[in-house]
Amino acid sequence: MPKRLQRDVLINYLNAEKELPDLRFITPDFGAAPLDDFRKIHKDKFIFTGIAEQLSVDLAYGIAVAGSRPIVYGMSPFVSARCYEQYKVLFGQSDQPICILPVGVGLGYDHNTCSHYSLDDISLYSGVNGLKIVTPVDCKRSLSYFKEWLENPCKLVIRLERQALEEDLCNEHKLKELPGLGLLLERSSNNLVVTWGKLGSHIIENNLFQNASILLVEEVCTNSSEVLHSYNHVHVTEESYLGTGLFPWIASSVATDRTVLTSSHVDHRIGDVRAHRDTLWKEFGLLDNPF
Amino acid sequence: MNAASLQSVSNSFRVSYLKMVRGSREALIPSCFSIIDFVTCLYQRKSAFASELDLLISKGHAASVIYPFLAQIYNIELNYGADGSPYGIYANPDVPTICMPSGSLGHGLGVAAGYHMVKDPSYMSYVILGDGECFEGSIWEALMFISSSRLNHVIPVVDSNNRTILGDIDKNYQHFDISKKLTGFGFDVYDLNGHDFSSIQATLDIIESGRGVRPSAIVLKTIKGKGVPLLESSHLWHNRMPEDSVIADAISKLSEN
Repeated sequence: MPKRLQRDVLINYLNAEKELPDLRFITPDFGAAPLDDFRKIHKDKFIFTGIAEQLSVDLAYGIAVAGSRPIVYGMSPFVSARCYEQYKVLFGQSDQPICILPVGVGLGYDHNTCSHYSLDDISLYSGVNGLKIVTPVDCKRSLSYFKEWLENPCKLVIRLERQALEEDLCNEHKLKELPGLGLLLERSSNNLVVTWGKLGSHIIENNLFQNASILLVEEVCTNSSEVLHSYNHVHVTEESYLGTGLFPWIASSVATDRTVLTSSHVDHRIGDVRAHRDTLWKEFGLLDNPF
Repeated sequence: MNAASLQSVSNSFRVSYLKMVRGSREALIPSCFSIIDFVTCLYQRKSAFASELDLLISKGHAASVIYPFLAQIYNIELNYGADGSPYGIYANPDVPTICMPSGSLGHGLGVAAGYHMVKDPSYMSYVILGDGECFEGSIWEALMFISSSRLNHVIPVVDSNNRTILGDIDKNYQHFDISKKLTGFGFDVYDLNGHDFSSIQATLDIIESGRGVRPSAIVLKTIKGKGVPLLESSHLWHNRMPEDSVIADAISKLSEN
């Protein structure tokens, strides 16, 4: 099945709608082919802020106060860190809704060095009171989360991959859905790999870590302890630094007195490493099997 | 209402403010007293506290200036600084008319712009900024956006008291001419004495008549701590509570006027 870009799926969905009442789509300087159509179809709903992430989120708050639903769309490293305080202070201290659509999470902007890598956004978003963080593993599920927000606006970030993903990874590979957590490929009752995003879908598609079950986390920092407690060895592999991704949350969730916990992470050597994503995975041992 | 009457009203709000914070652990009186005359003018004209987001204190450390006004309008008993009270130094959306938490600087202009993009109200939103707050880059992002988007009903009002917590602006940042900068961004800038009620009223008349084609901005030359001579004397009073005797004396003198 051909792969698609998650962002195109979401924007095309909006383009197909005749009207978008009470919605504003805000973006700093960042494009996508379907966005060209959006700007024509929903001209009055599109707000281009220039290269101004802080303004984008301040505007979003004012838009929410005025009773509209703001979407902030941009490159992941910049719409997470550059305007973090705006999220924390304005949205974290209120119940105003926002949908953040960061594109290029993790190593999505491979070959662009650390300015464009988004290796810390999970921990940043985790610091925003009440912000739900989802990291869908395919196109269908990203659209599902987006539609749910359109129906019931809340504080939500849908982390999007920059590279194309399967349309329906879940169905294609017979993954078990764990509501409120993610998708599970059941292969072992002893060993579990915990991961997310493009790295996770690559592991599934290429049948890696064959002696372990694979948990693709989609909803971050939810209650996962029951699932994790049943395994003897949990291994986290992710496109984050050691303390800025899933690992701290997973570490606090496993029963450490009986579970072996290991991890593979990107480290700060990455600074100016210019390489393709799969080369970076090898460089940092993200696909090394510890079992 | 003439200037003398406005001065009398403003002084009565200064007294209410001092009574409100008297005995509390912390209050940022000087930052509030540099803009209280301007807020009094807005209040008397019903240009503030009458519609949603008609006044937004972006310089969060002066957010408490509005509490005495709200107490009068809503007949609220202010329990300033008490545990669990929404009435503290910084703005809390649980307080009537406040829609944005404050304390962190540089947000107000962008928030007002977003609000106007959706609601496009016929009234003005006055967004009070500190001159020190204008060091924040988000202010410049917002000014550029407001000007180019012709959001002419969002009015930046810079409280130019020339003081920050660590010193006088003109000594730390030479050539920090905020009026020139605003002009450069495409605003019609009104430079006023922020304690001259006649000038403030005349400027608000012009702005609210909608005569300007370009967006408007106001720069208020103010005295930080205006009305309490000790607090006017040094930037060091930015975040220091004066002795109770100083407050008592100020209440007494302001009540005479």
